[in-house]
Amino acid sequence: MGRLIAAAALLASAAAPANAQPAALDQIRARLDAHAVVRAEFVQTRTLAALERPLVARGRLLVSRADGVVWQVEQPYRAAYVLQQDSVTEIAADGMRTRRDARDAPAIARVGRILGALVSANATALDNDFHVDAGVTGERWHIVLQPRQSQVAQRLKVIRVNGGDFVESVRIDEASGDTTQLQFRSQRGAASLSEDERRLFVGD
Amino acid sequence: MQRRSLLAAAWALTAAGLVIACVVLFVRGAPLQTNLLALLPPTERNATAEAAVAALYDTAGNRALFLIGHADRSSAREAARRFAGALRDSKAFASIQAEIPPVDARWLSGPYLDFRFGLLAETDRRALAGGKSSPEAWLTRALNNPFRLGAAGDVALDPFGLLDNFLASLPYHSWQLELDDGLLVVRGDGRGGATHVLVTATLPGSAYDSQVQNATIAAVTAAEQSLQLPAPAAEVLRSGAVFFAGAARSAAEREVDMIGLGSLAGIVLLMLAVFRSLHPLLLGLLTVGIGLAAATTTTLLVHRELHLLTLVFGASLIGEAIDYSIQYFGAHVQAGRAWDPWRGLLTVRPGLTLALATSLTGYAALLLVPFPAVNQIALFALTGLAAAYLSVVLLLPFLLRRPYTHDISAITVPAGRFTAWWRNRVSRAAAIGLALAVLVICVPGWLRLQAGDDVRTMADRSAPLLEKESRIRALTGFGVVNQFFLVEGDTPEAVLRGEEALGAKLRELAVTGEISHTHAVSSFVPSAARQMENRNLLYRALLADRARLQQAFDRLGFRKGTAEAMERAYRESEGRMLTPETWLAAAPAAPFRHLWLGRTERGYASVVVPYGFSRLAPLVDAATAVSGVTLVDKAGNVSRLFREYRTGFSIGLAVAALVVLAVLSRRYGWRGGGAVILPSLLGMTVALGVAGHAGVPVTLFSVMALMLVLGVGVNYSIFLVEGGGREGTTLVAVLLSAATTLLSFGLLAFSGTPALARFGATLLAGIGAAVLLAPLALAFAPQRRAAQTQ
Repeated sequence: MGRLIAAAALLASAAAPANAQPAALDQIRARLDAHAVVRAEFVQTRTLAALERPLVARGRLLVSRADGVVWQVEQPYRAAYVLQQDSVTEIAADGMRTRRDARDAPAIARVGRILGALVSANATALDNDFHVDAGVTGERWHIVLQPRQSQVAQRLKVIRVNGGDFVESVRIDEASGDTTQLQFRSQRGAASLSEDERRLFVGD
Repeated sequence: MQRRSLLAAAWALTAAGLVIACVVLFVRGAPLQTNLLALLPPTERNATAEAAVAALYDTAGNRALFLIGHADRSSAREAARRFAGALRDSKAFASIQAEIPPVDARWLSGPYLDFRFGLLAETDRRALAGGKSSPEAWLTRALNNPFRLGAAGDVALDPFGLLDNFLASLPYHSWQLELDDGLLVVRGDGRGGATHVLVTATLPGSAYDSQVQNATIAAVTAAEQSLQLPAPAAEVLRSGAVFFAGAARSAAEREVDMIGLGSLAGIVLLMLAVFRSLHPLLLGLLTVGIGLAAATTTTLLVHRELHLLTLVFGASLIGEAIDYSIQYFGAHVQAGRAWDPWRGLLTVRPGLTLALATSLTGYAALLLVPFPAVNQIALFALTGLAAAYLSVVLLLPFLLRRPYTHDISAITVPAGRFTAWWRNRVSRAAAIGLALAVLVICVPGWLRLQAGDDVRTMADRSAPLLEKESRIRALTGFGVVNQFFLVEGDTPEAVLRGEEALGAKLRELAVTGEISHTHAVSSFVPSAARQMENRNLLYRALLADRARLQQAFDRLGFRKGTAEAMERAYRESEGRMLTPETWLAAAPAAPFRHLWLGRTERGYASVVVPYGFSRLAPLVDAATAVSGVTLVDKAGNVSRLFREYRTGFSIGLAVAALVVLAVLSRRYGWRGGGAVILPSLLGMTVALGVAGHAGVPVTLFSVMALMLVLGVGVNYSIFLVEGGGREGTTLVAVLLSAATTLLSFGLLAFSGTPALARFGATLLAGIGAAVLLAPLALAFAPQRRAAQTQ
């Protein structure tokens, strides 16, 4: 998934919110904002033209509105990626942390920004890079994102996000035909981080 | 008589020629230099370093950069387009760029794709050399990495993500600009900050050309105004040497006007008040005019251009040039109805000649300094004063034939009494006591004196412009480079290897936080040796074991043939190296092209720019550790040079004082000469004491000012001592001279250029004290002269 978002992010850019459908987005935002911390499990299925069969990865996701996002891959390899406002840190299986300042790796930081915005459905942040189309039907909602930049559109076709109380799925379609499907399960909201989780962000 | 007329006619013709030449030169547009750097001598021992400095300043100098900011994205874009349109319509710039032509999504990776097996990020180099990971582990991590950029486009081209990591490691972080729908923008802080849109412009000529400055600054002002109605909240930030130079020039022009007109008006009023006649005034202005015309023409002929500083200094020279005619008018007043122009000249000429000789000694010493600026000023002063002197001695006797008819005894009689009192009543002991008292008062000031040689505190940099520039630097990462490494070698490959050796040292500094990052060509183009090494690393760790490689590709589900295709691509790229030439020609190299200096007199050279450091010492160590690397610190070297010259000048000042003393002693004897020079020495003492008390640092320019205090101050003592028999008019003439000099140099103290202001302030204090203490010379005055004339 990152690759696709990265493709988008590489040449993506800033913009002030255009508020295409403020009512729907506000409703979605209000529901997702109910929890300061969200924990979930994910399954990532990538279908690449270069591969004969889909590539599947599983892991856990931790989203803290105040601290950032932890993307923890458990299969087929172990690693965690911690996204914060000003840095991106990779934690290898042996616990080795490699921290990169957002200034030193702007493209990666931008990927992180969009990834963070996606999994928390932060519509305002997404609006910087995409035309946002949102709709609410009863308990369910969906957001459709199309890149604003023609350069990005050369690679990325569309991103679809579905959910209810939480984000439930994300599907990314690339112009090349490659797709990435993210399925979230066992989402739980919480008011604060646990000690172990806090350590992931602080790093000691 | 014949000879006099001949000489006068010859000089009159010469003077007329000089005035006409001066007028013609100015009408044709005199080349006025506003670049402060042009004033400085070459500071680098190494010609390549000097050229590198010049090239870096040129890239920065010929460009103007604007950021149009607005809280609303579309308003910012609209305002930027309007602004760029207004600039384009003005035709003041060679080119304006706002819109970026559509680029292919793979533009960043394009130049590297063919050479990808030799390009590795530092972290990957270490990981591959460690050899712990299997091809399968690499593939798994690369394909699932959420931060994969996918810059290569096709996964099969870069399955291990090595090119991706290499591209992510490139120092594009100085480039905080993003492409947004055809415009380059800076996102504020990501939390509702304003959007800034970049507009760049290329100047049609040098940033120091006054026509370029006028046209571009007017165009920018008009473009800013064109935004006021449609987008009143839009903010326009700008940066570029042209704005600083333009501001410096208009400030200097204001100062030339202020100092020139101010001292002229002062002289007119003072002369009219004292002589109560237009005649001396007009003749005085004539001598000054000839002096200035001679000075300007000579300077232009010798240096081919006139620096603004020279002009500002020249405006203040009026006060000194008029002294000679004032002395002559003093004799004119004294003689009354018995005026004979030639006998009058005889009474003042020895004093005038001695005064000119001492002044010329002082300025000639400045000619020896290897500073173009100081040379120009010295030449200007030398020719100006000499021409003014010649005009007085050769022309005035023909022009001032009528006797003086006004009675100014109301001022001359008390002045005469005052002088007689000094001469007869003030004992030598009292005079020595006064001199000692002055010394004692100055000592605490002396003790607090501090030297200041930092060139950056001497030049005038417009504060609002500086603020705008620092905001642009914060927003975009673009900024002025003052310190950098120069890397030299016989071949481009040697330069790149030198950069890599330096890079290893600098990475150690980055770990300890001494520097934040660097810009270097070798980050984009590793040396051929490094590329070979990378290929070998990659091959041994991932490709060598073909069975294992095939298995890894199969397990991850790659289509049949992917591993073979990769191996084939690897073999086919054997011997293919990314070179600086190839890289320089590629579009993504644009922001970094200035780093490669290319061919030089001694081989090849490049520049490595360090960022985010506060101490220079570790950088110096890094540079000395690698051969072929020099740390270039232009501002630092200039400051060091200023310190050396300040020390040299101080010694020169002492030598000049001895020379002046020797010149004086020929006429007055050693003791008399000492008495004549004493007030000037005390004037210098006071100037330094005042500077110490006021906390003003002593700079090269202060020492230069002290040289003038010596040269000018001695004149007053000479005139007083020489004025025996006409004490009243002499003192009045000296006071008048001092008043005009103080007025013109005093006005310099209000200059916006700190260097000039300190120069003026030192002169003001020094000459003020020298003239007030000048009567001290009378206490020891050789009576011989006074007796003779009486």
